[in-house]
Amino acid sequence: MRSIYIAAFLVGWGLSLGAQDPLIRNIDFSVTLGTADISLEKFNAGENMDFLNYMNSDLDYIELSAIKLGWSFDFSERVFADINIIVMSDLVPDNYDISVHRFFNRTFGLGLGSLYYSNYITAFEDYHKETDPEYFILDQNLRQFEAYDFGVYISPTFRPVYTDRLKIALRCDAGFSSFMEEHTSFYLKREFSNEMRLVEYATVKHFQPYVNPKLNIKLKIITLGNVSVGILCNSNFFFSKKRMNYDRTTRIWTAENQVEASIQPPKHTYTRFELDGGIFFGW
Amino acid sequence: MYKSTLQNIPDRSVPGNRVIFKSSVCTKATVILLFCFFTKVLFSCREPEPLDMLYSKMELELFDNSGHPFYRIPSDTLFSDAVAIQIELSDSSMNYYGSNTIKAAGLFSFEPVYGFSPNISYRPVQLIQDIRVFTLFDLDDTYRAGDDISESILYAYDYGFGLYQPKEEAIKYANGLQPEPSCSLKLFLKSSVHITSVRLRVEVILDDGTILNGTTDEYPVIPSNL
Repeated sequence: MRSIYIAAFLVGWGLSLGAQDPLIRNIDFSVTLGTADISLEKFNAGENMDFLNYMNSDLDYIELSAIKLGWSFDFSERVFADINIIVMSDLVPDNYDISVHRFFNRTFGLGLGSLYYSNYITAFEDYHKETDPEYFILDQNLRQFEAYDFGVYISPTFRPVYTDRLKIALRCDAGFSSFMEEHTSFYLKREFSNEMRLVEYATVKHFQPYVNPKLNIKLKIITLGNVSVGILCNSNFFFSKKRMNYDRTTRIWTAENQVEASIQPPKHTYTRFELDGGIFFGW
Repeated sequence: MYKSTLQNIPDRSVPGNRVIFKSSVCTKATVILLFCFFTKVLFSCREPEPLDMLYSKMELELFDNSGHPFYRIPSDTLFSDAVAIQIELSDSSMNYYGSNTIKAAGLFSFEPVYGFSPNISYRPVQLIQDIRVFTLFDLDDTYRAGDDISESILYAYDYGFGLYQPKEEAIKYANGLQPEPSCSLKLFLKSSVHITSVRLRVEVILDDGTILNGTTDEYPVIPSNL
């Protein structure tokens, strides 16, 4: 008897949905292919390790090609959501840019969002090879961080053109982002000596401001029944002054003999320009 | 009631006929004994107990630790900051008995067949109480000929990465279970030597009062900062 009540409730609830406005409307799904160009200010090796000197050291345009899967929709009269999942060359969909915008009128709006981008910091053992030539590293493997940059932002949005056929949106995202924590260690042995030391690095979160203006253009080409198909083009330019702070523990000879330090490397100018284009389906 | 004989097999098409097998007491006892036997066999499949061994022999060798610690290269000289010593403790009777038993068994037996290769381990009967290292020459202004330099000795485990450990860790390791009837310890001199040749004497003191001692060969020393 109880299951009959539950089934009756579910059927009644399902039938009543048709009497209401749809919760999610104007859904667009897009697939774009694009590229990203990262440039980062580099410094000469100094007294302390600076991980950002080894970020994206050997990347070019081909390696930074990216597939973006976009999903955007309105979920009330004035609120709009934009979800982008980015698949980099490693084919792992582990980058995202998600935002929600509220429009005050047809042209102006304000959004809140979050982004999560991966960056590769590779071969930073070169620092020890360069600055400590009398020591050699016991573990000869190449070291790499996949450092994720997590950020939150506000996004003033301006839509100079917003017609059924052509939509152009300009956004100026501004927020704070930080690299997530990473750990690594090096066993070093001095040549012609018994001396060994263990250097451990633990990066810490440090949120730094950034700006990220964006341009989105959507052009509807054809409409097939309820589904419209079009092309779109996205571009954005990320700018920030970044650094990767860390705690360093150096143990000499034995684990008990340790020296700790908190290091703040200098700030690097970090820019990332992205351009991608593709198709979208709307319904 | 029917018996389980060929002559009296019941007609199963007749409702109510049942097949009843009767076994003798002897069969029941055999089954129980077999069950117990195989249960015991099953629970017997475990690692053998560690064998006892006695540290009765010690071999010493100074070696050059100037390069990569895991790629030891034979050398007839030592660098002044990279003096290291290897101590090989073993049960001489176990080695003699073990090797000769295998050879003898090989002459008169089939090739051995094992369901699995048991990991035989060896447990030292006499525990090491202390390891002392003495220098036979003046090392520097602090350590003169005949001085105990044990406080300047560190230990490093052979395999994997790791920093040095106090000498007590070497004693702890040697007193534990060993995969062979022997134990190899690598000790490292923390201080630099300021002489042209080095020779060390090592004493291993066991808890039954036995002292194993030995002296290394004399090695010429090259300054590390050349």
